[in-house]
Amino acid sequence: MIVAAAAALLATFLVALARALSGPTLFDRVLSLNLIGTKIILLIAVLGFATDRYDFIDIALTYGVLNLIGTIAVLRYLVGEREQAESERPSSPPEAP
Amino acid sequence: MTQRLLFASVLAALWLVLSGHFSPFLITTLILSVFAVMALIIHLGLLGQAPRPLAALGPLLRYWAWLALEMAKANGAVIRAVLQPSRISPTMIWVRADQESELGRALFANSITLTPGTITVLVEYHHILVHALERDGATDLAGGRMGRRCARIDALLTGRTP
Amino acid sequence: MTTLDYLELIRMWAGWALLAVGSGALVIGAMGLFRLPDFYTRAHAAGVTDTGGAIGVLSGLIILSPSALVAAKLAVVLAVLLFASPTACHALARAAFRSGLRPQLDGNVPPPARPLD
Repeated sequence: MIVAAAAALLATFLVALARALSGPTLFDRVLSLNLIGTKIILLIAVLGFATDRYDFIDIALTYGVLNLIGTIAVLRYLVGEREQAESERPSSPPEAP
Repeated sequence: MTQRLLFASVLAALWLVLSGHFSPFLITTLILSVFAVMALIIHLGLLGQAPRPLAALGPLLRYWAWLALEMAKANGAVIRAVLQPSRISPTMIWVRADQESELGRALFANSITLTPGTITVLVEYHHILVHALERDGATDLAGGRMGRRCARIDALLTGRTP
Repeated sequence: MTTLDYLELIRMWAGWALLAVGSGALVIGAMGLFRLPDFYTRAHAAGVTDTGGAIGVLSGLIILSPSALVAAKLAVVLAVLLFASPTACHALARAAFRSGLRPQLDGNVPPPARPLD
């Protein structure tokens, strides 16, 4: 059963990879990469159970944190400086003096 | 103060869960690293304004249980939409975010994105632009049940009356 | 078989059922990547993978886990995923919208302007 879950993960991996390769927009590709990251985390945990090596879960946790940082870094890099300057506006209106 | 103690105990619990050993050496490093991280966080001013974190703990847990139920329902809706793509009716609406603090608005915006079928696209002051896969999801959100729940937790956290 | 054996059997079946549900959500989320028309709608399908798939698979593993420590670690992984994945999804949608990618909406209407107040 655990092997079946790993197989489903690998199959969806390929689908996400196909979407990452076919685009059509840049954001579809980054979305697919983010999804592949999520699936890698699940796959590491599942493989840890399949092979009775539960310390794999620590690696999955690290990967989970890195996945978010990676996605945001790629977006920041690709979307460019205009976006960054805009996003540094405060998110609430300034307090009246 | 409660907030700092709570945060430090969460850090310690995380350390214990991830290490799983209770030898004197590891307990010493636990205490040292929790102190180091707390000093760094307080120095950088990363701890937000939540004077009464414990008051919101119960409602927050109940909110997450409710959110889990909503997520299950929303998952079903999106799965039906994927199986019958002709049924979708993508919609965008602005939803009011009445939460006072940024933490409350972040909770609301994250909850919107977490339930499949609705995505937070922009957050501007007290308005959130939401993309919904089906019109039902948008009208449900505009009904404001999730927003009211988040506002209540936000009021408890900041100590304001809702 | 003793009562304990039955409980163990029920635990195994519950874990496997959750794993199966999670795997099903993963497969459908992946199908959505190709069946839905534009980037924003595909992001919803990704949401199914991020919530249904991750919660199903990880909570299945939590039930199947041999010790409380492993279960607690998996719970931490699940918590990190549930906080991180909507953040990444929102960052993507915001970057796409700001850089001018417009969604195909029902009835071909443009996205609404921000209400004034």
